[in-house]
Amino acid sequence: MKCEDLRALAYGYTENLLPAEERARIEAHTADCSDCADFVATARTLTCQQFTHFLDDYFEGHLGDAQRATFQKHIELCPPCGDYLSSYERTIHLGKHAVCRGEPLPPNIPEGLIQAILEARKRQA
Amino acid sequence: MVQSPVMDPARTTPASRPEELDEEHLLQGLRAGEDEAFEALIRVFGGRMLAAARRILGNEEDAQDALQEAFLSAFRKIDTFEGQAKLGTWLHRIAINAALMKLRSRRRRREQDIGELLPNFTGDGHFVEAPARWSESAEGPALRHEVQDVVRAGIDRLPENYRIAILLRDIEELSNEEVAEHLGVTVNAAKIRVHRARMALREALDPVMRTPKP
Repeated sequence: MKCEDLRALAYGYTENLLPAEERARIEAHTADCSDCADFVATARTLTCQQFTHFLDDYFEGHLGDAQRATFQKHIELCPPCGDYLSSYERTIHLGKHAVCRGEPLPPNIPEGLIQAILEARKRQA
Repeated sequence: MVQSPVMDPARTTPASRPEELDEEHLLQGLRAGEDEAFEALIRVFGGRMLAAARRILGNEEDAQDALQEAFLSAFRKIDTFEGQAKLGTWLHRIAINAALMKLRSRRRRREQDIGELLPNFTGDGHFVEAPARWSESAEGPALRHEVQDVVRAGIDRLPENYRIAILLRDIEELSNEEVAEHLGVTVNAAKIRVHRARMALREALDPVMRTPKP
C-alpha cells in the first residue's frame, strides 16, 4: 500500500467502514510508516464535533500552529468535515450576498424622514 | 463662514455619496451648527444607516424611528467625533446602537432554542448525518432567488441574540470586539453566538444547496 492509498482509505478506517482485509493492510502500512501512523493518530485526536467548534477560529487565523495542523489533518482524513468547512464558508458569503442584494441600491431615505429629522434637531437645539 | 459642506468645490450639484463629500468641510459646518451641513449629513449617510436599521428591526416604522434617534444622537455628539474612524463608520455604529435600543424596547417574540437548529452529533462526536458536498450550481440564476429567500428566512428564524450577532458580524462587518460591545457580552461569548448562528444558517441552507434542481 502507498501512502496516498492509505490517506484515501483513512476515513473508512477510522469510521470502521472497511472490511477486515483492508484494515489489516492499513495497519501493516502504519506499522512501517511513521508519517502515516502519525497522520491517523493526530487526525483521530479531534472528533467531528470538536472540529466544528474550531471553525471560526480557523477562518480568522486564531489557531496556533499545532491546533491548525491537527485541524488540517482532520480535514484530510474526514471528507464530510471538508465538505462542512466549505459549506460553512459559503454560508458566510451567501448571508452577506442575500441580505444586501434584496435591498434597493443605492439605499434611499424618504424625503419626509429627512425633514422630520431636521425639524427634530431644531426642537432639540 | 466655512465653505458649504453640501457642495464639493469642484461640483455644482450637492454631494449624495460619501466619496463625493469633503468630510473636513462637512465637519466644520456641523460644528458651526449650519443647517445645510446637517441636511448633507443625512442625505449622504442616511440611506446606509436606514438599511442597517431595517436589517436589525425588520420593520420600516421602527427603522425610521431608530434612524431619527441615531441622527439626533450624532448631532449631540458631533463635538466628540475625533476623526479616528471615518464619519460614515462612526454614524453606522450609532445607527446600529439606536436600532438595538429600539429592538430591546420591543416585546420579545417566541423563540426556538438554538440547539434545535444546529447539527446533531453522536456520543462519540460524529455527525449523525454526514454533511454532503454543496453543489456549485446552487447559486446560479435558476436557484439564486430561492437561495436568497432561504437565507433571509434562516436568519429571521434565529433566536434574537443569534440573529443580531450574525447580522452585526457578517452583514454589517463589525469586528468581534464591536459585536461584543453592542451585545454587552464578552468577546468570546459574541464569537460563540456568531459561530452558532452561522452553523444554524448552514443547516437551513443545506437542503437547497445539496439538492439543486435542474
